[in-house]
Amino acid sequence: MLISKKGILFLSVVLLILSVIKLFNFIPNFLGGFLLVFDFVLFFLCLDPILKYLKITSSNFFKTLFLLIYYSISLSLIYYITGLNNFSILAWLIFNFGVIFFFYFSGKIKSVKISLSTIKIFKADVKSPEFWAILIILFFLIGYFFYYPIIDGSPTPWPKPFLIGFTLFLIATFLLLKRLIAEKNNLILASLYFFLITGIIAIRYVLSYGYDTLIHQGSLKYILEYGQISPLTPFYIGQYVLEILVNMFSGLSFTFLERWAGPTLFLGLIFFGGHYFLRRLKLQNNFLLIPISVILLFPNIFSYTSPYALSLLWGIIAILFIFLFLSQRNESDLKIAIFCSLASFFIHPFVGLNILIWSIGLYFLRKNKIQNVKDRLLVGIIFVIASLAVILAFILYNWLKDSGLTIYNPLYFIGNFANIFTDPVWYLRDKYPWWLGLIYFYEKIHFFLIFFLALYWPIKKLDKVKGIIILISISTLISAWLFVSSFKIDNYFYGDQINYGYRLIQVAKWFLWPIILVLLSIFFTYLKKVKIIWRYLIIILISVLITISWYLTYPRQDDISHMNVNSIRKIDYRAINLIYDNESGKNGYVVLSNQIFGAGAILKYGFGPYYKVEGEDMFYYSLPWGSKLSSIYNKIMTTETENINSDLKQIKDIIKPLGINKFYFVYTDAWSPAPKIIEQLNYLSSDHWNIDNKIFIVLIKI
Amino acid sequence: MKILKISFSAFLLVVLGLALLTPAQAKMAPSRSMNIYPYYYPYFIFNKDISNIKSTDNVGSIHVPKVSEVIKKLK
Repeated sequence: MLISKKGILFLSVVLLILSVIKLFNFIPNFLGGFLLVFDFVLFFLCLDPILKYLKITSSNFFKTLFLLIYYSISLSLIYYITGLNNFSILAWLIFNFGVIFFFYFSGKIKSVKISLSTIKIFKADVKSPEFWAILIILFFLIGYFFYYPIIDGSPTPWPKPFLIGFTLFLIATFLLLKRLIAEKNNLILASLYFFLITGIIAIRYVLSYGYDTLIHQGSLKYILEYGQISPLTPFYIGQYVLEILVNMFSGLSFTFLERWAGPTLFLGLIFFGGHYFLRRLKLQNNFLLIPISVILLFPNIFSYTSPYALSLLWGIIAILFIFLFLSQRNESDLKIAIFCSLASFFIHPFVGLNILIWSIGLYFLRKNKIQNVKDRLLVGIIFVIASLAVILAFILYNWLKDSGLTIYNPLYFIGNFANIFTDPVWYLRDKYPWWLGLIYFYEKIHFFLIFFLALYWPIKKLDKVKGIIILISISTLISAWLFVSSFKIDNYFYGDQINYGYRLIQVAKWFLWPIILVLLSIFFTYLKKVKIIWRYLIIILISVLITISWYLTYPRQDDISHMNVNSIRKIDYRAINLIYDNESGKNGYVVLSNQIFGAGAILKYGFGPYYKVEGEDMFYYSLPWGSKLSSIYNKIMTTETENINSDLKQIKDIIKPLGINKFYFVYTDAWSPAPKIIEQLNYLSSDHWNIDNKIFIVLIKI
Repeated sequence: MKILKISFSAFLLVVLGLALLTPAQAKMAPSRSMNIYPYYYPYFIFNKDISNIKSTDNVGSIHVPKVSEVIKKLK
């Protein structure tokens, strides 16, 4: 189909008018969603002059990335300058369409030919029973998860027992690997498999998974109403602005967007990015390599809903392009890597800063072949800066905010770094079968296994490229080490630092992904030549490994892992509503509860009220984790027999000066205090409620 | 490059060795330990929680004065 220049002008005018009308809600939401897609496609078609100006070779993948990054960064800037509202989005749209009009009148827009290239999805193998067997298994498993959503906050998405499910998965994996070696490529099978591997949390947790996403949804609602949210945190905005744009046009709820938009974008771009990467390197580029490499690289990452994941996504795409640049020396790749790193940095500096320094550093060295001593020294300098950047930025940011700071010797505290790799608190190793011990041993050594594999498995012709990629990964790893063992900032828990360090470790692992992709691609091509008996043995072994990794990818409840409820349950909202209704609002009381309730209350009734306590804002629910009310609550919940009078006095000392004389204490069947503490609470209560023997609310007046 | 490879491998092996020293049992009683933690939260097997160490402890620490303290002094 050919669209003439005038056709593009006409389309632009129509879409602009419709978009403006939609912004002021004169068009139904479902049409608004389509409108947003059409706007995106139109901008996509008119991008060539900009790429030409930036001297970037045009390709559909580049254009998609470029446009998404542009959306994220430009809307973030608008957020900071004016806040997001109908008028600022309108100005943004007019600017975008204005650029198209400018290109049209300066003769830079050419006619566009749209060819919907038919993807040979089904090929001839629809006749093969193997194909249908896999398809049926995948549909069955995905359908099963959709059919049984989780609303009781179950800590694990795995049904119990699920032996049939794992066996079916193992069979499907085996058949898929067989097809991979036979070089049978099929987009539908690979994408369904990828969706099954990575999408279970999104599929099953219809009320959202975990704590963070509830806060994000609360923040998004607030921004939609007021344009900005304060205190202005630089994190997250790059993702928030995209979600708000989609919500404004399509009316899709933030719960839906947090649940699906993030994961879809993440998985979609990873999927096509990996495929594009292998195609450019002229390696075997079967779509199936993407899910297999991801699952083998990652037991343990299961949630792609947070801004951290979106930032990570841009970091991963950036590293793919750095790899491509180093192997093919096409400057366009490096420019795309810089754009991606910038997007990553805007969304979450933790992930973005490191890769941004590498991309910019390599841009300065783009003409050098990194063979002589001087070049290597320069790479060394980039390495040092990248390793230190994250912690220096973090320290400086907090120090300028007048936080107390102490610096420590990271070698002395190397054990703290090792702590990241030890069991989490919910692992109990009392009694368990040997095979489960083996699975958990695999989980424990997994990171080191992957790292040594990437480090020591040579790749012909690409070994130097591999060296730089590993350096990038190591620099992130060093950041993680320094993060947990070289400084302490007031207001941050050691647990916070461990958590950030853990995230950086995951980033370091993802940065090895291009290497793993190349290795797997070469390995499966080689496997074709291996004797049939060995070939099948190896396929079985890998299938088992993938099934184990699938199991480890999500939180578990088994003889070792005893994870507790950490997602909101339907019944929790009854407690939140009960307190709200009982008090006819949010003022005049505080609530001590586990933080999921606080997050649920923010989502349901918005932020605030906040009270000034010793110069700091205190929320009326015991949030966040480090707040005074939260630490008192945690103390009461974890004590065995002691008298809680001193804790109650502490609460009184905090709330009395604020003119508040009552508080609610909430505990659940999933996490309750010791029996003696419950006795004391009930004795002191002036009222109490029991919701289906699952939630217990005690009102105490002081 | 080789030196970097070997030294970093050694570093990681030390970390792995330390990580494998996980205690056989949970330190807290099970009923109290399964509490709702916001994030990944490991056992502190080496018991070197930095937040518990004061700058006066002899572990090579440096206390950096707060910005407000620096400004006060400068004034």
